[in-house]
Amino acid sequence: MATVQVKNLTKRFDHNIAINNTSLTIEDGMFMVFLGPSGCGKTTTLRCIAGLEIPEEGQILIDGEDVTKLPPSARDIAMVFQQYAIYPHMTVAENLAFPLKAVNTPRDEIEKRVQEAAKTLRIERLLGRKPGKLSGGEMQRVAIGRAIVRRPKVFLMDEPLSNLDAKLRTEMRAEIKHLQSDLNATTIYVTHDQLEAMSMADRIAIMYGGIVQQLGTPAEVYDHPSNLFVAGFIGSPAMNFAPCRISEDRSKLLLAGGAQIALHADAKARFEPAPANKELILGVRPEDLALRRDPQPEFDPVEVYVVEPLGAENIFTVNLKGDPFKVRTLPTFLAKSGDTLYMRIDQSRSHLFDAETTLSLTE
Amino acid sequence: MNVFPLFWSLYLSFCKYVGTSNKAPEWIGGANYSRLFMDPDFAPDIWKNFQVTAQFTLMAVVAQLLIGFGMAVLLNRTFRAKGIVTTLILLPMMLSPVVVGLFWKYMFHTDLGIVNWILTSVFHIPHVNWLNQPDTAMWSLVIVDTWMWSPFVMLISLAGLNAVPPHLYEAAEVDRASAWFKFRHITLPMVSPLVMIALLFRTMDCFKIFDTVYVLTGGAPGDATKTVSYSLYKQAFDAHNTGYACALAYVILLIIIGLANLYIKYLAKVRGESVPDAVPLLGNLTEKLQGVPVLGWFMETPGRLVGLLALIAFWRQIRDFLMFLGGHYVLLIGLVVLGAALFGISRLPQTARNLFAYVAIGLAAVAYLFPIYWIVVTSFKPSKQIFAIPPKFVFTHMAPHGEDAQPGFAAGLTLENYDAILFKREGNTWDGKIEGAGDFPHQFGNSLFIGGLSTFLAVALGTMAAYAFARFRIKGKGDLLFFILSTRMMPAMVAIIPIFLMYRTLGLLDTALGLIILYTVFNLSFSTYLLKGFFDDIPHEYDDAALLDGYSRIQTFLKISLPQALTGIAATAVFCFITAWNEFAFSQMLSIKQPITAPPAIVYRYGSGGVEWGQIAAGAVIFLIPAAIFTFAMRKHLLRGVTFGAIKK
Repeated sequence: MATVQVKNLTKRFDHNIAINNTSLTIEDGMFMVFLGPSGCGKTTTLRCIAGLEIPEEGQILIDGEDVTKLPPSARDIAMVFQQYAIYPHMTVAENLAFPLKAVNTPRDEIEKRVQEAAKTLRIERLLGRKPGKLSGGEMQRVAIGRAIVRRPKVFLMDEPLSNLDAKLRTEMRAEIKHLQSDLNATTIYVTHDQLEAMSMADRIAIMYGGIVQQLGTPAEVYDHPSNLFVAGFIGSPAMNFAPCRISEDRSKLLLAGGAQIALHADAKARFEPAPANKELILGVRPEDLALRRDPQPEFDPVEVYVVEPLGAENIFTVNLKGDPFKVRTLPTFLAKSGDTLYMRIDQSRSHLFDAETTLSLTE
Repeated sequence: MNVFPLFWSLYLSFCKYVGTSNKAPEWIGGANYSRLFMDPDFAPDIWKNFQVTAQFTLMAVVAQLLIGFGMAVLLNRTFRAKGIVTTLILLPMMLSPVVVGLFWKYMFHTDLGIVNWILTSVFHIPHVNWLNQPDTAMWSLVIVDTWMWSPFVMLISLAGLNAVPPHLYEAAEVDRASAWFKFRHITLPMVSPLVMIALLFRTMDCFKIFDTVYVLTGGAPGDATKTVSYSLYKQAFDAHNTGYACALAYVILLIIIGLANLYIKYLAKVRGESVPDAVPLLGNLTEKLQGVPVLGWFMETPGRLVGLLALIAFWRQIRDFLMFLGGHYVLLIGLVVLGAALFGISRLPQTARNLFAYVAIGLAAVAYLFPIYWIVVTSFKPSKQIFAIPPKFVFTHMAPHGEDAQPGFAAGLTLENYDAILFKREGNTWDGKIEGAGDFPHQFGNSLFIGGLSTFLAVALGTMAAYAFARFRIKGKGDLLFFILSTRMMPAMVAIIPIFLMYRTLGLLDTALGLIILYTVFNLSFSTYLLKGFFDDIPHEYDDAALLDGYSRIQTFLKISLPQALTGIAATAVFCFITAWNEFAFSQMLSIKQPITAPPAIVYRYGSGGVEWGQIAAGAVIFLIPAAIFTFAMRKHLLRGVTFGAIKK
């Protein structure tokens, strides 16, 4: 197991900057997730760490050793590809043995490790089959198995679950996380699915435009997003955003949709850094909004637009004057489109972002 | 039209019949067949013919495999001229085998041919008597066939190499696999199904080779290069043992069906179809035999089965071939050196490897295009400079009529050959005139007309048939398709006897109409099969949407499917045209008085009296131009056409 350091990494494709002077460190035994939308540079970073791309500038160090210009074969890493990269003309056992055969491992050692990996992933009964006869989940496990037999310093995974159906994905998430903590393996995992990232990672590096937007634990990026992008990317349903200003006398929030909300006592300190009369964006998570049927102080009237019953909870979309908000409620709370309800924003957990710089002013 | 000749042939094979006499066929039962297999006069000869054919097939297919696959590995990299180089290398494949054979005959001339000149001056190897010794005559056949068809194997191998997903290589790279390990465990296994198709196709083609043999060696010396097709031709048209020839033809046909069966099965496997589109007849037999211990191993893949059959039937030839290799130390040493050199090169870093690759590509391009260049150059030379030593490679001036050869590599350019062919109706030799050599522009025009019309008919009818096969459920579709495919794989010789007799009765010999009918029917099966593939590619949802909107089936066909399939139809038309354009055997046999189309005319010009190579070259060049144009126009669909739609690239 090893530490991986990325220092001032820059990678260009023609005139397109894929990675822009990025630095981060992955500690020994850590499960690091690179999270971001397509084209943000996460896969490219992974491939640079793997050695499948050579960066223009910067360094990659594995266990302190500069491997930036070394080919993949010299880096002692294993990779699980998005399309599995399982050889269709070999059986599962032969696929698992492939990396060991490539470096002339003795046959009994190969046999031992293949059996071990198969047992860990519960695919012993599949050893004689060819990939054409495997299901998606089984192929995924074989791909992971091929990485495990290597016992490398670092595991790299490039969106391994994206080709599976939703249910299988949920199962595999837990399995991969369990596997990683069992092996205590330094793992770098790339995904665009924030749910995967949140559920599996020790640390998440959220990337966008070739830059790491924020690096932190799942709790950190969820509760304390450092900018608008991170706030909007993490969490489902997404955080509610409403353009607004703070009034001159700092007593009210003036929303662009027309609503005027009094600033609560617990929020005064929190919103202190935000200047008045500047374009801001209010960010509130659906679970930080409360709905009632009858008016109360600190509650504002809203109109129900649509209700989505999800079984374990209901998601209300309501309009606060001209601004829509999504609210999480208990499954027993019911209403119809067009009804009037009363909503309170928990301002102690809300965020204010500078509309121009998109940086958070409250974290 | 397809079926009747086969049945008549079958009937005749049981008869004693002399085609040119006026006597009716006499039923003699199985006597022809027993004669084939057991008569001490005939049987050994026929067996020798099979051996010759097998030896040729083995040598040619192995050579094409090595060269074709090797070139594919070389070309499997991006470089600027790749498109042009690939298209140019494909040209030999589209040329008429007769014209090609004739030209190599010219180049292989013992004293005056360019090949020997290169051997002596560049490599200091003494003159080889190419066409008059058994060994070398066989080699010259192999060389010509390899020259024509290695690009075909290359094309298919290239398609296979491109089809390997790059992330498989990346994964192997990460897993620390060496370049050789990757090649052996990823590239080879993944490419082999496609390469097998190429080999099967070539095997079937080599088995029925006729045109090239006819022109290059005539079966000589002795019967050292007499292949079964050629022997059949001799029996039917020289010795006039028509019934007997039919028996022979049937044996050949059965072998071809067996091979075609294998091909179709492999085709289906590669296309990922679980039930083959055309139902093979013997398919299950090999599967049932897989249980048997040792034999079973051979049954597991078609490749092994073919290998086993070849081993059993032609072990003597294989032994001879190995002894030949062993006896010719130079060859053996050369091969070892080549192997070592390749190994050494594979150890070099990428940039050096690339350099070697480009050099090799350059050499290959030169080797492939040189014969074509040579033909073109020869067509512009005055007669006295054609065989001049040293050979004239370039032109420096316009040559006045009858100019003698000057020393050096330069010659004068003349248009007198083209003039003779196009405007004078007889040939001009050094010492006299050729009578009745025919009227080249007329024959060229005939070729155009016959080719064009038969193509139009074949494609028009084929399109409709293909649409029906593609869209409707037709009973016995699988069997019908298989039948269609196998008739296309049949050697011309098998059908020629009954067709000849039929035409004689109907008075269609020596007519353009006869050839048009023949080519149309011949191409119809191919065009239907190919077009069905194109229609299959168009999602049937388009048709469904139109039908739902109220169009009738015919309207849908005309307004929706046809426009979508236009590229496919164009490609098919080109292939049909080139097939008809290059066709030699039938055109030759079915015209008694005078050649009707160009290929026999060019050959005829060679055969009668003095050999006027300049004019033959000019005729060849004119004849090659349409093929070259079409090759270039259809370069994107070439692969699909020559593999009967197996590979869509």
